[in-house]
Amino acid sequence: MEILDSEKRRARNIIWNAAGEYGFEPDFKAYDHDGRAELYWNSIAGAVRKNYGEAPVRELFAAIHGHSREPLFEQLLWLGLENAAFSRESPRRPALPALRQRYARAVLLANGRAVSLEGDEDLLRRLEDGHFRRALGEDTSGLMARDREMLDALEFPGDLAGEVLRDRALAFLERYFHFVPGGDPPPEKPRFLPSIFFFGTGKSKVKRMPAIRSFGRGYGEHTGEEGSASPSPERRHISDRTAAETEADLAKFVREFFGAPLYGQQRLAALEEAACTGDHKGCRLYCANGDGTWENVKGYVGAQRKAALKQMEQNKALYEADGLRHRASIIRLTARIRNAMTAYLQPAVVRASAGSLDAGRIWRGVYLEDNKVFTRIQNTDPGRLSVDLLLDCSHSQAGRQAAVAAQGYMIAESLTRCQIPVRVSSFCSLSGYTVLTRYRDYLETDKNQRIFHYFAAGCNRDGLALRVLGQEAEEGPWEHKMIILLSDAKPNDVVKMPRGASFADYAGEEGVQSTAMEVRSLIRRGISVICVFTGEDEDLPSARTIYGRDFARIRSLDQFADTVGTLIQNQIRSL
Amino acid sequence: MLDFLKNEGVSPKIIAEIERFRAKWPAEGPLKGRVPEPRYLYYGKDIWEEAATALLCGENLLLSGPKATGKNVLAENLAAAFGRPSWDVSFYINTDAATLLGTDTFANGEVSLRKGPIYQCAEVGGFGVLDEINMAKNESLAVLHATMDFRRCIDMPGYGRIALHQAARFIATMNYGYAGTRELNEALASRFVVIDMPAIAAGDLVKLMLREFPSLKHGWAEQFASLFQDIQRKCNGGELSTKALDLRGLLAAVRLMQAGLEGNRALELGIVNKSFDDFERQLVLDVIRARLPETVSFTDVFG
Repeated sequence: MEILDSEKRRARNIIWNAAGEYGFEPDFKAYDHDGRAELYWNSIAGAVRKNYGEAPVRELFAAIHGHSREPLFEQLLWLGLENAAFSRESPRRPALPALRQRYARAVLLANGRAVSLEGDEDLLRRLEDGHFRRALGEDTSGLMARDREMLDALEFPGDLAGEVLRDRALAFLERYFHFVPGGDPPPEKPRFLPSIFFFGTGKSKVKRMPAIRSFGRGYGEHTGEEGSASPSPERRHISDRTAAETEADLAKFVREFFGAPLYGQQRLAALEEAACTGDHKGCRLYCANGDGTWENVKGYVGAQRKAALKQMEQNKALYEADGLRHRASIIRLTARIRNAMTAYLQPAVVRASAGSLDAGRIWRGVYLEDNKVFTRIQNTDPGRLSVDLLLDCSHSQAGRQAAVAAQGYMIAESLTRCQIPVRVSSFCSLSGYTVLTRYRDYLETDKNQRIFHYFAAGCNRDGLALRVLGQEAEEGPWEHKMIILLSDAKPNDVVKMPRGASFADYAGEEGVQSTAMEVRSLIRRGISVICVFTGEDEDLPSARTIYGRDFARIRSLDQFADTVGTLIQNQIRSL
Repeated sequence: MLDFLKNEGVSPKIIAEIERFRAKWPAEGPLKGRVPEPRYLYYGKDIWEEAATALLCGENLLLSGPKATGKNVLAENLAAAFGRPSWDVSFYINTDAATLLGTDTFANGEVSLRKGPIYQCAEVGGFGVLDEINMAKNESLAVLHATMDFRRCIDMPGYGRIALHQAARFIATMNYGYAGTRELNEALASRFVVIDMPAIAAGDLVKLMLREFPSLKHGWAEQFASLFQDIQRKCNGGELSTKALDLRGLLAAVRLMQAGLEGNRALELGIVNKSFDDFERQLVLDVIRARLPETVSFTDVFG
């Protein structure tokens, strides 16, 4: 089951809301059978954290993790926790009883239609059925005596402390399932479960369960477990190793590394012909569609992609680990950009009935009774702006990949919230190819999350990437264009620049000068270029040479919004 | 108003000083009509004491705080408590000296001065409420410097110089970092004492609602206050813009419920639809649905 990012964010928000705090990443999120965030269960998950604390609940689920009957235990424990959290929280939230009843009715309806089950699934269905019948105040006389006893023990009261609740839950598992935390799974007969409603797998030994698996009437997403198999698709990635001998092999190699092409051959050839001239003569171009789909490849490329996938998860995890500050930065940066858009308008002189006297028009007041003999200055809309965000994903960024991805995401998200069309790409160079990967286009406002696919490797030919992006930006319908580059101002590529009869390295001072020329060329064509400098102290002079005063260095997350905001504000002011 | 301050627990000494101020500078004649009669009261003893003391000492006030902290309610309440006529000036990007002090206009075949709100405040000793002062350009506000510092005067080119009435005070409000705002320059900021307005406490919000809607059941006033705080936490957490954090919208929604509209629909009109982004609206709806039942009728909410 693929869950949309927007539904994941919704689920997170429901949990945070119920927990009354926003500074943590929930280990568990619940979705209905259509993959939509489940209002009731996520509210319960938040209420559990609020009322019983994070540690006891984490310890409880950690104790059963990896056990062969974990799917059963997990769902039973949630039934017990639901009972406790509901008892405690429902007096404070009048919505909960109705939400619970609606959920309970849906469960009973689905269970009534279910085919016959056996083993753990049957047990779980019986207990769940009994529990939700009780929730609805229905007759439960049909319950078997042992099921009734188990249910009585499982439906924890609301007034327990977190640690007591945890111990009681573990005691329940020990009494009815002989479960001992840390002990070996009991030697019982294998349970093959057809999984209609509850479990995604029918294996008797569960070692690596998928992060998104069946839960209740829908799905649960478990992000805090060790060894959970991620549901996310693998992501392309590049390396600085040349693994191709011929031109055709090289093209294939680049395509496999970066994924499907963004443009057809004709469009790509036209771009290449226009851009790969002058200092970039002899370079090749490839534009990848950064949608996260690739051909199925193995070997070296496959291994590199696995590393890229790991990096992508790290990018997201590090962003979420400091999510509160990141989100606060987005809010601040959004406000800054909005301010700039509303505050710096073009002045225009208009006639008015009050203001500065226009002596040449006084006769109109006397003879024509036209009192508009004054002038006032009003500000007018300067026209629409589009932004291209370009991330340098060369190997020199390897030590700060998560930070660059987070910064790119925050800028893109802030611009999106200001309704400014923003296109996000990354660039690097590999074996003579300069590769632009497009994460999102101007109007794809819901794809900012793709920026976390960012992965660094290879070299970087900043000048060529800027040139191509400039050409593409000029095709857009917006009056003003801006390129924001996240770079360490360290251009470096293997393809040399022609200098008369000889060649110069595209690196060091020559590379910096060439890139600076490219930036000046864009500015002359009316495209603003600013740089969020991600490099080290030693490269600051290069950044100054290339971008003049239009760059800012981010030393800490706290000053990110203000620094980048001021930089963008200055550019908007000069539109 | 002074009875309300007594009930709020404001220091009797400060209330006595306010009474002396009112006796010394009573609003008379047509100015009486400009003394506000507040619809909403500001709850918060500490802020009341700070603000009243500052004004009694002749200072100008800058109320700084995010949305829904009661900046304008307090400004209006202060003018009412001191019994002074007030002029509201909403600042915006094009606010300039002419807007504030006055401008030339053409009447009866000659150019004459049309007095601006600051000029009128200065003449009669009014309270000038400078709303969203940081929306205007700093250079436009430089004309206020002489008015607000020790000089206490306005020099109008071509029309002479007038001294500020002794009862004149200025109360500015600003939401730092709000869309369309800018940094207030130090020269202007130094002419105010600044109160950092806290978010309204749940208990005060309950009191405010019960005063506005006397038949509202206490338990429901608490639920609406908690709902407001849920949204506030979401804004503080960076998940929502402050569009849905709308106290006026919440009160409007309760008013619609009182008029018979079903509760959730009323909240959609008053709060949810304030955000024009689909996803934000969904988040706000989730907050409401996780707190209030699916249908909320008049008889549920009002006794």
